[in-house]
Amino acid sequence: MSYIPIPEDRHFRIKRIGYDPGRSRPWLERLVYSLYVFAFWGFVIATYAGVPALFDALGWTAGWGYVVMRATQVVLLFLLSAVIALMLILALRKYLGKVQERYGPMHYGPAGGIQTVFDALKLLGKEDFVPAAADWLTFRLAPAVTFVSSFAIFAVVPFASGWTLADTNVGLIYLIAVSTLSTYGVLLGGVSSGNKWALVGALRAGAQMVSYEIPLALVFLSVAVWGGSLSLGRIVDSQMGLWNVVPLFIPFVLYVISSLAELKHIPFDFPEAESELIAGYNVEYSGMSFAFFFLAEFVELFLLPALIVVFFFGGWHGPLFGLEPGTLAAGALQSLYFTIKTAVWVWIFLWIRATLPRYRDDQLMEFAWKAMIPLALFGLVLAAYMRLIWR
Amino acid sequence: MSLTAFYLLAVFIIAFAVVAVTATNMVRAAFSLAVTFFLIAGLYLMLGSPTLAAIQFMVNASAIPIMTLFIIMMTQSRTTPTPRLWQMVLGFIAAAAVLGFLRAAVEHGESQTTAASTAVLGEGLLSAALLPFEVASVLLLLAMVGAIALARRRAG
Amino acid sequence: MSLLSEVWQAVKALGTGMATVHKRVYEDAPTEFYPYVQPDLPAVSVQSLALVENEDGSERCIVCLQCERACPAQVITIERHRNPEGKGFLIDRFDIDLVNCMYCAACVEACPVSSIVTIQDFEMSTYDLHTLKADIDFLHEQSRRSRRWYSPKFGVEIRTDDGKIVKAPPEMQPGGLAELLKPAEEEVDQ
Repeated sequence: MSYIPIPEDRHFRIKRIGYDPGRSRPWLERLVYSLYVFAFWGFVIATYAGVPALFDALGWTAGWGYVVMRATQVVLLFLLSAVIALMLILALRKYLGKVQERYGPMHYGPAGGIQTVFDALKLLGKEDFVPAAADWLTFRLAPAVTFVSSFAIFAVVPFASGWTLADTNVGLIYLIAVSTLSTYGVLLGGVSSGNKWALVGALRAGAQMVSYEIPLALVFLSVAVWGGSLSLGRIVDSQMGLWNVVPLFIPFVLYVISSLAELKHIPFDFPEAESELIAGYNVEYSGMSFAFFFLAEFVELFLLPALIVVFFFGGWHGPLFGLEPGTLAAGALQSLYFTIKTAVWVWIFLWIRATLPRYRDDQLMEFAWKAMIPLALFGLVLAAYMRLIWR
Repeated sequence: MSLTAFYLLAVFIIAFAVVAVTATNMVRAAFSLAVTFFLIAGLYLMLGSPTLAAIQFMVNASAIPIMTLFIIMMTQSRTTPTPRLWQMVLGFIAAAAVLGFLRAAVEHGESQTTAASTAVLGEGLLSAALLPFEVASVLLLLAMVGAIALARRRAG
Repeated sequence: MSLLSEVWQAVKALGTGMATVHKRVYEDAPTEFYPYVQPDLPAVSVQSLALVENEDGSERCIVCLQCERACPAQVITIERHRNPEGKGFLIDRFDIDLVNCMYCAACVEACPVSSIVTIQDFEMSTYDLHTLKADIDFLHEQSRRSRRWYSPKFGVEIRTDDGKIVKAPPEMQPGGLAELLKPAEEEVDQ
């Protein structure tokens, strides 16, 4: 059916953008979204190899120079986390669209590739509003605490051998502490909002995250027992021949489940539960404060799969094709392996999110205390036993 | 450089500790307490014990404030009444006593300390200090059992 | 043992569900790109009304007021006077209030000459409701813009590229009507 164009004097004429969506272009989508993975890789190389090389060339390697170098890396990682959040939100929307037989974002950029940049600009432009019933200081602090506690995990994640901000020998304890801290921002946000839904959401979030903290910590312990160190770098080193996923299969499964709960993702999204709690603990937030909650969630969506790769899938290990370990080229290749493994795990998390329905609240807690924790203890004892026998 | 860092940390620790004690809003007090503990972990780090710093971070700066927040949320006690004069005087006396005790302890033990690595600390806990370690865990277990018993009696 | 079999059931269900979801990724979305691509609505769908003129520009409407009488919402207002040069009437005013119109198409069914017809222009949204108080010029304009319209008496009519109005071929006619009309035409021919 065709019409002669609508006359000019009708002001309800639709603006037609010069864009032909008549055919879907899967190859373009695949190209754009793979390019994003490589852009991320470039960012990692710049942060972990470029900045130290630059400061070496400048001669600032001791004292305050070292502090400035680390600070530069942290700033770059902050930018990287913003980029990660933008990419992952886009990937989530696109993937959920595909799964639900929609197209997802497709109007801005090739295959919708820069849609989330516009979303972020929209959030920047919105009014940041503090409700009258809220305690403004804690209300303002909560998004910052949430974001910092997610962002702080970056400090110990090894992207390649030696490419980490702080390869401390207490990395695992630090991880437990930081992931406990992320509960804190959520609780603060919910309590200070002065809103019933926010309070209920925060209580649920607190109960859920504290419960799933325990199997998570026990899984960390099994990994430490098997790897013989609390340092993430050395845990990856110890997986040279055999990835941990084989001997530590039970802790691996438990880790995937409890990190889904940590992420507050479907099937464990009670704290947000759009259908019953509107958005849970962040219901009163708008503008940039809300954006920080979002940012934290999606940075965690990157970091927890990254930790799966570190703990169970050999981190940066992969064929090096005769490159000398420790050189720039070897580091770049290793970080590429790490990036690709992480991307696969992020995809699996999105896949789970697209598939499963929400659990029931009491079933969730029952599952944590009656199934996860005993199994995690069993896995810990098994790991210790196997270490005694085989190593 | 480390002296600058120490003074920065000290100033912030004292500031947040003062807020934690004086704030009438319970949520704010709990939050400043957590920040104080977190900064004290920084002090441990400067003293060359990352293990202790991480454990301080994990237990005192994360887990305990969350419990505190839970209690605040459950009991709906958002503000505290301002203290009376005798309470303040008693508090100052107690604080001074604790300070004197700590000072004496530090002066006594100053010559005997070495910065312990994670492995040394772990081995010490499971060999030389095994008995106090186990006693402490039994005490915690007792506390948990007691809490459950109290809660059950209240419910039933 | 029952616990293990339950776990196995759960794992199997999870695997089946995730495989089903993954297959969906490769299927094409049934999304319609409406603002860019016009949807192909059926010819009988009632989206708006128009007043058709003859090919030479003369009025097809004979101002019999049947539509005004048939209208259940009473949104049609017609004023007329006698034609001084012959028989019949001339239109003074022909208004349809498209805001209150409920698009039942009773007027289209009542029209003896198929002058008032249904068209498929649904892009009538507006910020100002007064633009939807359609007068005769607006209704003529709507019919001139349309390539295709429908009335029960004449079926679907098409405006060809050179301005002629012809009856659409039976395959374009709504279901059933083509079959109903065919024997009637054959009888006329005989």
